[in-house]
Amino acid sequence: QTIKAIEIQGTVIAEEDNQPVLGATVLVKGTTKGVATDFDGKFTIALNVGDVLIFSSLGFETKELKVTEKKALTVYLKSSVEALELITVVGYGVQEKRNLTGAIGTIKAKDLDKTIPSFDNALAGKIAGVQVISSSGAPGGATAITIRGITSLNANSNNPLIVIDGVPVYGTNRSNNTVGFERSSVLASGFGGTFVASTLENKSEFERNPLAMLNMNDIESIEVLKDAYATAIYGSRGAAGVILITTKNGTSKAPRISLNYTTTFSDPIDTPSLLSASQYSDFYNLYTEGNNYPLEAETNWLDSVLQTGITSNLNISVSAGDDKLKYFVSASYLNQEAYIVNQDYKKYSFRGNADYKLTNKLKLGLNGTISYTDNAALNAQSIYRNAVLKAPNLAAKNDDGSYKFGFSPNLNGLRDNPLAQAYKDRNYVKDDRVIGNVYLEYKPFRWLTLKSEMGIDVLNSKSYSRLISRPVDLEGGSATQTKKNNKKFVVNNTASIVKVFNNIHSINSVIGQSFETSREESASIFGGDFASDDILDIYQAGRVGGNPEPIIREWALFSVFGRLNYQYDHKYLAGVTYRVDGSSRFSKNNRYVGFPSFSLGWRASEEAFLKDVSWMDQLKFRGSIGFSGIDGTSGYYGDQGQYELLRAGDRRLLYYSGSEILQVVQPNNPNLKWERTKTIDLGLDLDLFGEKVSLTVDYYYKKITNLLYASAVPWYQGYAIQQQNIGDMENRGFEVDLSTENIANANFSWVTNFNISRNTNKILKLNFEGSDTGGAALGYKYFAEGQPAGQFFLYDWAGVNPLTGNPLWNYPDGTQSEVHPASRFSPIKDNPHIARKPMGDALPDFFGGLTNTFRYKNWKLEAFFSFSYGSQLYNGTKALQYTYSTKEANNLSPGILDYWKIVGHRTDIPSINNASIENTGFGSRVDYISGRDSNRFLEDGSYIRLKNISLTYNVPESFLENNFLKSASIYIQANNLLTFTKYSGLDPEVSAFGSSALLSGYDELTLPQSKSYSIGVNIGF
Amino acid sequence: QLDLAPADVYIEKDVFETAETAEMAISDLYHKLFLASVGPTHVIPDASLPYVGLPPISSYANYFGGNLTPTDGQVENIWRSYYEAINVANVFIDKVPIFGQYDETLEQQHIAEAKFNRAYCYWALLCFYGHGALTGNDNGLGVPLQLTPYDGFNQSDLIPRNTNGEVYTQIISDLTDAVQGLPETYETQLKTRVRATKATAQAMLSRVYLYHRDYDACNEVSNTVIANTNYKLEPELLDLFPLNTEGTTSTFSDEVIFGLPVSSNGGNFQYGTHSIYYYNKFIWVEDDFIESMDPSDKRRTELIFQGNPNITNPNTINERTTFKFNNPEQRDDVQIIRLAEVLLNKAEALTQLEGVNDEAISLLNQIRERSGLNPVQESDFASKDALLTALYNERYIETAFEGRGRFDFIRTGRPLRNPDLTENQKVFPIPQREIDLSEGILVQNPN
Repeated sequence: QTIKAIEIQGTVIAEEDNQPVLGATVLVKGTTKGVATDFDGKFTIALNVGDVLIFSSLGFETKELKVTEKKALTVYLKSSVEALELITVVGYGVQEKRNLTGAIGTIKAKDLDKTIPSFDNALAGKIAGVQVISSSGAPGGATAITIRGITSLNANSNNPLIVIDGVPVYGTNRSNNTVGFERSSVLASGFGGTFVASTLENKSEFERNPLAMLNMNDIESIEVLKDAYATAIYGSRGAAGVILITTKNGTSKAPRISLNYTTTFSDPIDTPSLLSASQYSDFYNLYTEGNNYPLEAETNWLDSVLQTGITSNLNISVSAGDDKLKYFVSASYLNQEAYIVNQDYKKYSFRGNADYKLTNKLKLGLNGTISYTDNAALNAQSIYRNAVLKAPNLAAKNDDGSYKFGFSPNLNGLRDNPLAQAYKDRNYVKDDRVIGNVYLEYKPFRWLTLKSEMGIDVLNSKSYSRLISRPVDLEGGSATQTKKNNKKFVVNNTASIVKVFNNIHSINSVIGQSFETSREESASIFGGDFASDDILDIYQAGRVGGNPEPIIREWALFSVFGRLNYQYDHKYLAGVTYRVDGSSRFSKNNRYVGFPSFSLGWRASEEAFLKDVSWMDQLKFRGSIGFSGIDGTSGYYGDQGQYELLRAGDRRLLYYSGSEILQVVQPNNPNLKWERTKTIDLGLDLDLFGEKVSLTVDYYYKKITNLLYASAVPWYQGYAIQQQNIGDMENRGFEVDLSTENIANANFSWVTNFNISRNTNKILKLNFEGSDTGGAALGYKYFAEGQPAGQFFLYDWAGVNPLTGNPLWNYPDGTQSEVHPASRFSPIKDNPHIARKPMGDALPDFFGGLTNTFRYKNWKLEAFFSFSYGSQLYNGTKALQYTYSTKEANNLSPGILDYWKIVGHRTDIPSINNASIENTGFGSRVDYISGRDSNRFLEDGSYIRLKNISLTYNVPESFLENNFLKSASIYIQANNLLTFTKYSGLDPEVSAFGSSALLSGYDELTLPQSKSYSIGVNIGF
Repeated sequence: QLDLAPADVYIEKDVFETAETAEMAISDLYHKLFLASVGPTHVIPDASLPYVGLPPISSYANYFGGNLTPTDGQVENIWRSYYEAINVANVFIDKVPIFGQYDETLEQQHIAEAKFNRAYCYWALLCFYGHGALTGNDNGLGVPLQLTPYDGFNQSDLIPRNTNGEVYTQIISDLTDAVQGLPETYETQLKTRVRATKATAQAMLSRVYLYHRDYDACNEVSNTVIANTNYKLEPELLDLFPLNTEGTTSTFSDEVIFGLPVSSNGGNFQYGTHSIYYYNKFIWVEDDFIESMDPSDKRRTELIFQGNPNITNPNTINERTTFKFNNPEQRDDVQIIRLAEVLLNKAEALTQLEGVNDEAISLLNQIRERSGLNPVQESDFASKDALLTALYNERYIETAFEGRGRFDFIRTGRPLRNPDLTENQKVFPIPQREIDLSEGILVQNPN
């Protein structure tokens, strides 16, 4: 047979849109001979009849074609669904995963636990380097998310930027999302009594989770941008990391309806042990030396406010698509009962995503969600706290059936009645939120995409708190009402170029411009002295507190950015990004700042010497360096001088000889600089054995300079403290993501995903020796050079002297004393802080997660463990349950009964009246044994937790064949079933200060997580 | 579009642009001076003398005991609050010329008011912290002169202490400038007495020259004030210190050159009290002091009273106190400078210059006669020192409990309540915090 040479001219066309495919590779099988298609998808190649041509291009399925004598070919390529899996969303664009040179963690919809109401909670333990600290078991409560450690000494500025479908949304921020509902009248405290040195305030407030509004079932994928190359494109807001959320869109041709329903039963993971009524009476009678706490009733307050909370979650979605139109529509309803009675959280959310091709080159799209949340569980924390601490020897109700307030006949005690709080007080926050964007995409050529989008995030929230009348301390009750209205508007215009030259050079680039404005308003009023507990309207109150306080705040951000990724011969990768941000938040002197980043990558597996190693699919080395910033630390209006009218405590204006007083609230501070974060990242991606083993390893070094912190200035400057760029801090660590397909055959498979991260934080430079992070309101941590920002600095508790029953304290000179270092009898009372020692970091040394998934035929078993090692947690719960000296006369932990009794008694509990509960000299007493400034209650917070285990049964398709159902599965799941920890409190996974990572590490009778069981069905039509 | 104007706060540029907002900011100038001058700042100078009765354990004991520490609360507070007031003045002096768009005369007046306030604060700081400032040592270490507003902090902004002489020079220069820019009067009698006028600055100069021992200058400037017909010695002491039970309206007699209108400053409990607790006899007037006055002295018969009649504390129930603070809720108007002091300033200066002299004696007699005492004659005084002693005594009886006793006693070399205090112990230490922050630039007072 003669081999006939032939020259073929052909065109490669995309099947989907009939557009020519540019840069497609046309290769003669079994040879290295090949060409690339040109601008119009055309190619010319000389070969032999009978050869096989391979056509391939990014995003398309590879096609093989045997050459006949036909000289003109038109080849249609199908879009590859498989390929989409390998696409990663990056800032203002997408990129092939194998070409990434930045550190980006991805989680796809299928790997998210959808029984968890909020996606941030579902991220915990799933992505290396991302630490999610749940605040409490309260529904709708906030979480602290840190990406690669603490990046700012500002308690509110460690929150990553969250971008939903291109719209940067209002994310976690403790000060923005906290609803305060302090009573408008508080009983004045008299002189005398005992106070605990360095305790933590129990503030009546609730920090809600602004991310909970997003319906988990709408999420297609979540990308976490970690290193500078990934985040620098978000410039001044990228330093704490960026989370990109992409929601679903229609894909299938025929309409597909899916329905999901889950019911969950939840109980607290554990409950505290408490003294019985008689134990309580006996203890306090002994302490107060008299029958001051008579045994009147036996009330288990905690049991009477606990319940099994039932959560129902229903979700329906429809998706469809054809050549022109694709859409995805969903609706969901969640009704979550807390495990505290009468505290419910409801969420309704709707989404519509669609895109429509006006022409082959022009596409119009929109993504939008409307959600409504009604969180009536704001009191849960306070009810729980009071139920634990309230005297058990008191009756819950009076003889006439009304709730009994006060502590009579006890000498002292909490006045509140947790049952009345649960059943009679009202306390809710209702949020309406709309997040969406519309865009127009124009693709004049296959390699060029012009996109213009406009997005909004509107958050209207109304919170209302009504406390019913309480005798003595709150006659007539009180109410607070707050309205907030946040509006954000963003415009992005981008031009993206994706082009391959000669099949060797490839570029993927974007340039763009973005403008964003935000307007935040709030107003609140309060009232007191209501004639009836049924009246809710504050204007019917006997006393309407002062003026509404309308606040309007605005900021704007104008940015220009660009990215260029270059690839040579699939082996060598390089990238550069640059963003310039101009923010209204900064003073004119420093308004525009640029954030560059650079990266390099080497796909060693493409080199000739590794190409033949059949078991190695990919080996890539990558490195990046770049800068990003934080814009939230300097308030709203730069650092220009700001003045406010001086008002009295009741908001009344004050005057000087008839003229109002305009007083400075923030002085001009023009030389403040932006905090700047430099990150170096070295990474490795390795795929082996037909992608059965995938390993990603990253090492990073993140240095933050010009840290902003309110630091001391000389008083002669006119102020005590002012914001200053005081220091430098570093985070260094590594991250490992490993996924393995251990067994895979037709009937049985076993897949393991494992990740572990280590982060070490260190403050490198400060302009002062040390400072509290803010005293009692913020916890008892301390900043010092050479120490982590989350470091506890505490007095050193040395146990109880068995001879005297007094506590012993370690002094810096190595001696022990029964005198607390801060006591007025202490030899170092002028500077007791020298006795405070670093006692460990609230943030862990290591953390991560392990997921094992087993499939057997139609059954799937999944078990997910998360773990955290090396963190310290302050057991303030125990401190409270060991505090008996104050007027609250708390109910106590039974552990207290082992107090020191006689000489020689070895115990950790001092004698009831010990030397560290001492007279101050002003008629009152101070209790040094129950404060948060000693390590008496500091514990190791390490844990391993079986976060969830689920069993799913997929109804076989054969069974469904004759029905209209396309798929069906049922599942059962348990969350927080097992926890292994040395922590003696109820739950090591709590944080009393919500989203503030800097203030994490405190358990202050914080509602523990719930242990829950779910059952659910998924049905597809 | 990145220059957003805040909707919930006034920005500095706007505050100093118009007369209306600048006037509101001026109020803060005086308000800060009020905050700095009352409470312990006012009481300590009198409590440092044996004429104020104190309970056996009193926090005021620190200030005459000789062991005052640089971490003491009031050592810090007095320093801090005067410098806070100085910063407000500095902002005015710096920003009005930059941003001011209103009437030039009013702009100059505002700057002059700021300079008066700044001078007053530096005078007070010198009295407490200046080493040798009251005993004529111009080379002694005074206080750091911070003359520019807070504008961000750099390490290079750290400044050393200026000498007493330098601080006096600055005070005198500010007051001299202020005389130029200040008005003779304001639109109301009250404002004329609670905002700085030409005479206020001159009267303050009279005090400062006297403290600085520049007797010629003191005499000269005192003459101008005495010649000013807006100010008259009030014939009735009870019109000068009226019964003010309500404490809701301020009235100042024509004798008052500068005062703080506490009574009319808002009228609620949270704010506006002077925290000077003579009425409730947390501090009171010692019997020895009362007995030292002539029985017919109206300052004894009219300005000493029982205080709060409802006091049950057995330790103080029988004590008497000063009528200068008679409001039950510590809302009395506080007098800072009055004509009687200027008369005595001049008398003292003249005596220092000329020895026993007629004019000084006639000034002294004006004060005595107002209180119903017999006039004294030139022949009553054997020497210059005898007349000076009489003037010092008269000055204390006249201005007792008005917050300057300690300074006058140190200045004239008379012993404080603890007579054993060394000169070093009579000077407040610089707050330790300031020393710590200064990186060695700020030097502590000896001992």
